[in-house]
Amino acid sequence: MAGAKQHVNYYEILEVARDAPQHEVHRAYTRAKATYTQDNPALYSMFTQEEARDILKLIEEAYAVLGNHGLRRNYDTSVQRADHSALPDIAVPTPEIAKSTLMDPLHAAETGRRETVLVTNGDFTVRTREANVPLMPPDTGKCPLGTFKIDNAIEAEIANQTEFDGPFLKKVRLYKQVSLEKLSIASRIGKTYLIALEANDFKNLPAPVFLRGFLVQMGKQLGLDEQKVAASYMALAKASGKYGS
Amino acid sequence: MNDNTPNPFRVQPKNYATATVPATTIWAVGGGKGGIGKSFISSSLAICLTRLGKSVTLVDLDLGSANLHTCLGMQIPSQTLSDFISGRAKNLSDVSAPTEIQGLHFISGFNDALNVADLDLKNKFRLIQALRTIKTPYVILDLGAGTSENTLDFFLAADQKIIAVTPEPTSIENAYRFMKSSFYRRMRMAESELGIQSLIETAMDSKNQFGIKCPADLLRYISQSNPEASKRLHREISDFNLQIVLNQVRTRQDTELGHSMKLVSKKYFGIDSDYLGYIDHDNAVWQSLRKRRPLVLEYPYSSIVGQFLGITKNLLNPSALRAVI
Repeated sequence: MAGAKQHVNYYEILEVARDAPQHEVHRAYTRAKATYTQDNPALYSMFTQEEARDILKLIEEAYAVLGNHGLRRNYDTSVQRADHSALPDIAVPTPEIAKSTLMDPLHAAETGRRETVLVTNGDFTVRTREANVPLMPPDTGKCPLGTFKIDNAIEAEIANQTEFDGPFLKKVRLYKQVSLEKLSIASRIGKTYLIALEANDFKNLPAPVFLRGFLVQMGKQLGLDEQKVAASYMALAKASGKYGS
Repeated sequence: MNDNTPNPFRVQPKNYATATVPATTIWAVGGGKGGIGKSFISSSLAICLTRLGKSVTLVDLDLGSANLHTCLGMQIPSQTLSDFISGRAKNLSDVSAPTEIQGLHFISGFNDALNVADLDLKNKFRLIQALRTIKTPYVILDLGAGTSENTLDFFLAADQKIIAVTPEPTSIENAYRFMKSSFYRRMRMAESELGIQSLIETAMDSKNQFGIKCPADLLRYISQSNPEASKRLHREISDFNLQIVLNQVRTRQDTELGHSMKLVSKKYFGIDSDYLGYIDHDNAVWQSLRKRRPLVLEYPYSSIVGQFLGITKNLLNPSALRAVI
């Protein structure tokens, strides 16, 4: 292999295609590594231990580059440049052009499935972000079950609330635009229980251990402090005298 | 092979534009070492093919020690290949015997004193030509152990070259030896047509000045020194890809051996091979052999038969193995 040193190609070493996705590069690497480790019977009578050690070193070197997104891109660019400079009548592409032909997301963009925006810096780092997801307007709030329009008065009320009773939980739910069905599916609480809970109908609520779990779930799904919700509601239910009788 | 006539023992490149009828597809099962299940694999593959609705001719080319009929649970047919070789039978169809399995035909090997080494060039040529004209769409050749020239020529004549191997150093060593021998035989066929004999002879001398140690190095060297010959040589040996079947697998680790062998043979020969699959080590194999009933019929719902069906499907559609997931 003496004269072939300059032809060492990392893709050939790992036996993967130039455009192989990252998970394939990784799988090829684990297989290659398992193949050329000592005492693998598959090497027997083909490669000596020294040769296997040399090949393994090359494999590690190749994966150190191809296994890393940034280094792989730099490597692709330099290889492509080398290829092009061998042909004098073709202009050497600028880094941006060279990169854009190698970028997977761009190819995906051509098929129209996903649009990405490339942000290039001088040091070859490329960041992508989803372009077709509209940026949220500044007054949009988020809770685990969706987005809603922020109302500062209600937000302040929620922040100062110490007693979370049924009607207040309902108010928060409606403010955050979460339907009863949606909440029931996400929290895995039956709708009848949710209705009873919101109506302070303590007679029809389950045993404390279950009720506490329901309240924690509900608080989480509505983006509230679930411990505060559970503690205050439980205290309220016990004080009413109707619960558990 | 000193004359300059084209060598008949290699697969002629198919010309799809002019081909009228899809020719017979030949699968050959080889592997160098004896007792690694070549006959078992070839008979099981043949029965699996009939299960998939294809008709098959199974040919026992383990000349001198033919015993494939035992794997099939048959008596020795009255007509064998020796009748064809000696000229008593004009066509292979005369010596082809039907079996109890629908769609499976069987051609028995020699059962008398004739040996594989005794087959002369003219008769070998005639036999390979005849194998190509068998009426069934699939022909499976069960080869003998060893790397004799005749065995290699039958192996190289096949469209799908299946290497059977078990996860033992002896079997692996012989499998590689078998690969090397058939690869160099294939190269030598190409070289006489391309006039690159001297190059290959240089390369065969392991202490050569170019640092060529293995066929992959040789191909790389030729592509640098003589790009035109390299292109033709690549075309010539492009049909030389091997299919690896791992037999008698006992541990999970053993199953990975096929992938490793695929990588090693790519690195060493510079050729592509496929790892078709593995077959578990199972007592049911020798139990069915003792009963002289094919395993696929005796235990049709066993996991081994499932593995054979998978391998058969991979052989029928090798592109599925190479698909990118």
